Amino acid sequence: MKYYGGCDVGSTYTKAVILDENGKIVADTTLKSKINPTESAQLAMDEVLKQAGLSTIKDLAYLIGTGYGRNKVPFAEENISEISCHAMGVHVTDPSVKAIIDIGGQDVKGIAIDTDGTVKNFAMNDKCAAGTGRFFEAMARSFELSLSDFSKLSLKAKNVIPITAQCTVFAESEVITLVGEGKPMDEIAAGIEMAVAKRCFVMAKKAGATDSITLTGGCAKNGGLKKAIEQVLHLNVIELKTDPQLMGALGAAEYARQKGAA
Amino acid sequence: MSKKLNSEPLGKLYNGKKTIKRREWRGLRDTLYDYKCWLGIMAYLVKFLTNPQNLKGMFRYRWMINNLATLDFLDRHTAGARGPQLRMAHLEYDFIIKHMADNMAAQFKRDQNIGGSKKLSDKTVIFDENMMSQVMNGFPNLKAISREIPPIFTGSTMRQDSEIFYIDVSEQYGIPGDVCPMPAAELGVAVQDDYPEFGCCILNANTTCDTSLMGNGIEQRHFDIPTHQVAVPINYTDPNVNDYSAQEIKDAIKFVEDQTGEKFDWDYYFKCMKIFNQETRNFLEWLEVNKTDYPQVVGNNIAPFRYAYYMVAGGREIGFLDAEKKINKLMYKAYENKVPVVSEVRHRAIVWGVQAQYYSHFPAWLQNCWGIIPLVDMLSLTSTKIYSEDDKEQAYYDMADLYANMVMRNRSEGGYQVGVEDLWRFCEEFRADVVIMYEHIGCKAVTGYHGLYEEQARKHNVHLIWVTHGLMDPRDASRQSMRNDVNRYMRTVFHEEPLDPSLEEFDDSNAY
Amino acid sequence: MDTLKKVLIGTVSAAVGFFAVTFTVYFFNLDSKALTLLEEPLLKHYEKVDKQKTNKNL
Repeated sequence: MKYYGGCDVGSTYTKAVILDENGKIVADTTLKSKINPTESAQLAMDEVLKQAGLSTIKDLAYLIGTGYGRNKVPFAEENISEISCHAMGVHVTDPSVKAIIDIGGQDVKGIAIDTDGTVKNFAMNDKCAAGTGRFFEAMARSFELSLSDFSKLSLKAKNVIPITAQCTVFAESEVITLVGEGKPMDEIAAGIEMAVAKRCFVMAKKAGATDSITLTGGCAKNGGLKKAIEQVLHLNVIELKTDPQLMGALGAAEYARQKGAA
Repeated sequence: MSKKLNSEPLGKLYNGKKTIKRREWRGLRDTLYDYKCWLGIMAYLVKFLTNPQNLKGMFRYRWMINNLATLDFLDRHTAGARGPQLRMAHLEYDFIIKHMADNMAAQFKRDQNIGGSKKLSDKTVIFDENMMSQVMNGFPNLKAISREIPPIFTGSTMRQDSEIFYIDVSEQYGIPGDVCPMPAAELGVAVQDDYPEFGCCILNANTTCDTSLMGNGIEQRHFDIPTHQVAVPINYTDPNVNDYSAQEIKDAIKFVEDQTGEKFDWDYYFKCMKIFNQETRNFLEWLEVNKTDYPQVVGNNIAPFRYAYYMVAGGREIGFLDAEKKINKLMYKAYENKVPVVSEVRHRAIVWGVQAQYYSHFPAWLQNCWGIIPLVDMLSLTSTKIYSEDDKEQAYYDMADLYANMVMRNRSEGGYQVGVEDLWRFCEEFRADVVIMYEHIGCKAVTGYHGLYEEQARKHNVHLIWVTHGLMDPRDASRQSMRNDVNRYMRTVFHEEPLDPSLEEFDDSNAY
Repeated sequence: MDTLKKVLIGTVSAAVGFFAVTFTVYFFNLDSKALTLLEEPLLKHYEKVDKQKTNKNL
C-alpha cells in the first residue's frame, strides 16, 4: 500500500493528512503553529506518521506542502497554493460543493471550484484582519471566553446588536463599550458573527455562490458564523463530513496522490 | 543582434540594495544602443546640474533627492526590452526625463525662494497636476507649469518611498491618515514649504475626490496668489450641462487674461490643437496595431508618454509628435516583421484602474514574468476625439470635454457605462482574456463597483485579477504584494509556470 | 604625417579609453550606486534648510 501526505502550515494552526492509495484518510492532525514554520511542519508530519504506523517521511510516496508557510516545508516534493489545496480538499470530500469561503487565521478567501476540483476563480483579503480568525480571537478575548463558548453564546441570541466598526481594533473598542453599557452579551456576540458574515459577501460573490456554500478553515467550526452567513447571504451552508480545518492538508495530500499515481 | 527575450533572469539583478547589481546584457547591438542612450541622458543631467540656478534648486528642495533615481527609473522601465520595444521605450522615456528636467529648470528659473526671475514668474500660470492644459494653448506668451509634477507625480515613479515623508507631514498637520496619498503628499509639500515660489495665478481642477478638493484648498492658502477653480461638471455628455461647462472654460480663460494682461490667441490655439489631434491619430494607430496578433506599443510604452502629451503638453510641444513619428515607423516595421514583445504570449490583457505610482513599471513585470501583454490601460483611454481646428465657439465645448476626460477622472464619472461596461467592449476589441484590475486601497471612488465587475467578468468570460496597491504609499501594499496577487492567480487558476522564475519573488523592498 | 599619425592614435586611444571607462560604469551600474551614496548627506542637508514660509497662512 502506498501512502501520500499533505502538510498545511497556517499562521495559527498546522495541519497534516496522510491518505492511502485509495484516497482514504489514515491519519490527520491539527497542531498550534510555532513561530518557525519548518518546525511546525516537522512536528505535524511526525504526528501523522506515527498515527499511520510509518517511520519516516521517506515512507510516503509523495508529499506536498501548502499554506501560509508553504515554501518552508523543505521535505515536501513540491508546494502548491493553499487556494488550490482547499478547493481539492473540499472536492474530494463533497464533489457537489462548488463554492468555498475559507476563513483562516489571517486571511479570508472565496474560492470557486471547477468540476475536476481545480480552482475556477478566487478572491482573497490578506491586507486586513477584519473578518479573520484573528478578529474572532480578539472578540472572544474581550468576552473572556474560549472561541467555542463564544460561538455557543451567539447562538442563544434572539436579537442582534450590529457592530458598525470596519476595523478589528475599533470593533474591539465598540464591543467593550457595548459590554460596559450593559447590553446583552449574546446579542453582541451575534452582532459580531453578523459583521463577519457581511464581510464574506464579496468573497461569496467571487466564488460564484448561488444557493449554497461551504466553510473551511478554523472558523468553519463556529456555529454562530454559519447561522449568520445563512441569514445574511441567503445561502445554505453545507457542512462537510470531514473536519473543515483539514481541507488544505487533505487537498495537498490528494494532489500528492494524483501526482504520485501518475 | 538582440539577445533572446526572457534570456536574462531579471530577478537576480536585485540584491536587496537600492539599485540593481548591474545592467542587463541584451545582446551586443541592444546593449550598445542602451549604453548610447544612457550616455545621452547622463550628459543632459550633468548639463542640468551645471546650471547654478538648478543647483540651488537641488539643495533647496528635499524632493529633488528623487532624481538620484533617474537612471534607475530608466532601467526599470526598459527592463527586458529588446529591438523595437527597447528603441520605443528610449524614445519615450529619454524624452520624458529631459522634459522633466526642463520643467524643473523652468521652475527654478522663476523661483523666488532662490532668486529666480520675477519677470518670468509674472508670466507663468500654475496648473494643478490633474488639470488639463489645453486652455493655455491660446497664450503663447505665457508659460503653464504644473508645480506639483516633479515632487509628486514623477517623484513617486522615480522612487517608491518618495512621498512617504510628505504623507506623514500631512498626517502630523492633522489631515486624516486614510485619505488618498496623492493629495496628502501634495499638501505635505506645501506644509513643508517645499514648493518653488512663482506664478501670477493658479488654475485648479475640481478633481474627482473630496480629498483633492481639501488639499487644493489648503494649498491655495499657502501659495496666496489668485486662484481659480475650474469647476466643469462631471456630466458625461449630458447636453443639459454642456453650455455650463463651456462657460466654465470661458471664465477660466478670462481669469488668465485678467491676471496676466494677455489676450487669448485663437490662431495659436488652433495650431496647437492640430498637433494635439495628430497625436491622437498616432495613438489610435498604436491601438489598432495592438488589436492584432502582433501588438507593438504595449505596457510601459503606452502609459506615461500618453499621460504626458495628453495632459501636460496638450499640443504645445512638438517634441512629443516628433517622438511619436519615430515610434510609428518602428511600430509598423516591427509589425510587418511580426516581432514578438514577449518570448511566449500567454495572455492578452487590459489594465484597468489607476496604476500604483510606486510600481509604474508593473506592466513590464507582467510581460517579463508571466507573458501577459498589457495592450492598453484605463488611464490612457481618455478622449480620442478629433477636436475642432477652426471653430471658436466649438472650441470652448472641446476644452470642457477634454477637462471632463482628464487622465485621473475619465472613468470615474459617467457611471456604469463608462466605468464598467466600456471595459468589456475593450476586452472584445483587443481580444483580451485577462483584466489586471488595479485596486487602490485608499480610494473610495471605485469601491462600489467590485460586485459589478465580478458578475460581468464571469458573463464575459474574462479573468479578472485584482491587484491591490497604495497608489503612492508602498507601506499599504508593497511591490511584492502586488506581484503576489498576480502570482497566486497565475498558479492557482491558470496552473502556469513563470517565463522568468527569478521574477516571481525577489527582494526590491529597499530598491528605488 | 607623423603628427597626423600621433593625433590619430591619440584620438583613437582616448575614444577607446572613454568607451572602456564609461561602458564599465554603465554595465556595472556604478553611476546609480555612486548616487546612492549622496542620499545620507543630502537628507542631513535638507533638515537644515532655512525656510521662510513654513506654515504661513496654514
